[in-house]
Amino acid sequence: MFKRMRQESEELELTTLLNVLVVLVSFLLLSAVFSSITIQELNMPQHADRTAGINNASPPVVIEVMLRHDALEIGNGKDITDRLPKAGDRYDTATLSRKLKLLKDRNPGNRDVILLVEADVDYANMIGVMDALKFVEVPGPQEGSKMLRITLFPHVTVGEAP
Amino acid sequence: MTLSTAKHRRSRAAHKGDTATMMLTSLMDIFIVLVLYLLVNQSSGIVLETPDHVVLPDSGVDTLPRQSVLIVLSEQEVRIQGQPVVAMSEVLTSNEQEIAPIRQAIDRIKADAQNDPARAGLRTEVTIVADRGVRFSLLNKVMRSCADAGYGKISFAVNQK
Repeated sequence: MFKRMRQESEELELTTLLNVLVVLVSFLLLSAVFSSITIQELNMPQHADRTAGINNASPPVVIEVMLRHDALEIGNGKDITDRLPKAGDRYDTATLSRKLKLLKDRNPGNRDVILLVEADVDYANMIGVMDALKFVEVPGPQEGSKMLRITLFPHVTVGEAP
Repeated sequence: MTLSTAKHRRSRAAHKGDTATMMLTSLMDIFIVLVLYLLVNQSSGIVLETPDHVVLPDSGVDTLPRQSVLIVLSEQEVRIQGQPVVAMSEVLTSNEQEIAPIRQAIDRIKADAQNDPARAGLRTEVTIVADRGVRFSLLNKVMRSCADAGYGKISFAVNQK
């Protein structure tokens, strides 16, 4: 008889724990965020009064990407080295990432890139190109494995195209 | 309920006790796994509210939003921290590089948050929530207004792909 009683009390303890768990689960489910919004960070161009200091400390390699209404251009600060025309409605971000990967391999320490955008380019295209500047996705070493993400130039400075 | 029926029930429950406990245990296992999963997946980031008519662009970045001044660019108006500040038509036709009402609104928020460590993010960071069709010329004006007000960190809200 005593044994039976003890078994019953064990059951009761489980029920209270279960109640707590049910409340916890419902609370966590309610507070869970399913569509997640992330942020695309910018490196701000510095103010004019500070450019003197910036010029002295600036890295020797400058990578500029011009986002024009009809093409993408890659430059080194003085002249334009590559021009990727827009294919139909889309910018050729895949080729851009490939070219930037070559630049990254040549200057592995460089993390900065300047993106110059023309006034009539829309925001979605700009974000797409910024993605292409920040990272490139390459197929994994084995067949069917996940895409590997290689960071290119995460510090993007945005300015207006000349 | 009389004592005898209660006793009767109890003894019956004790007979069935084994299977009932087993069922509860498996249910509890499920719940514990669920709780752990939800706890781990709970993001600590700040949830950004976007109006229905603002469609964010998609992006592959995975930085979570932080506390910041929220600027929403919709078709009709510019809203800062939920308050309508200036009409969009006015911003589009303006020839100035900096938009004065935006600058003033941000300056006010900055002054408000000046001595409040809990709102430190409001002093230095701006998040721009813009529709995917917004032109860069407009973005540039907004960004310039923020930069002139002393906000060094500007981010764009995007949908995670």
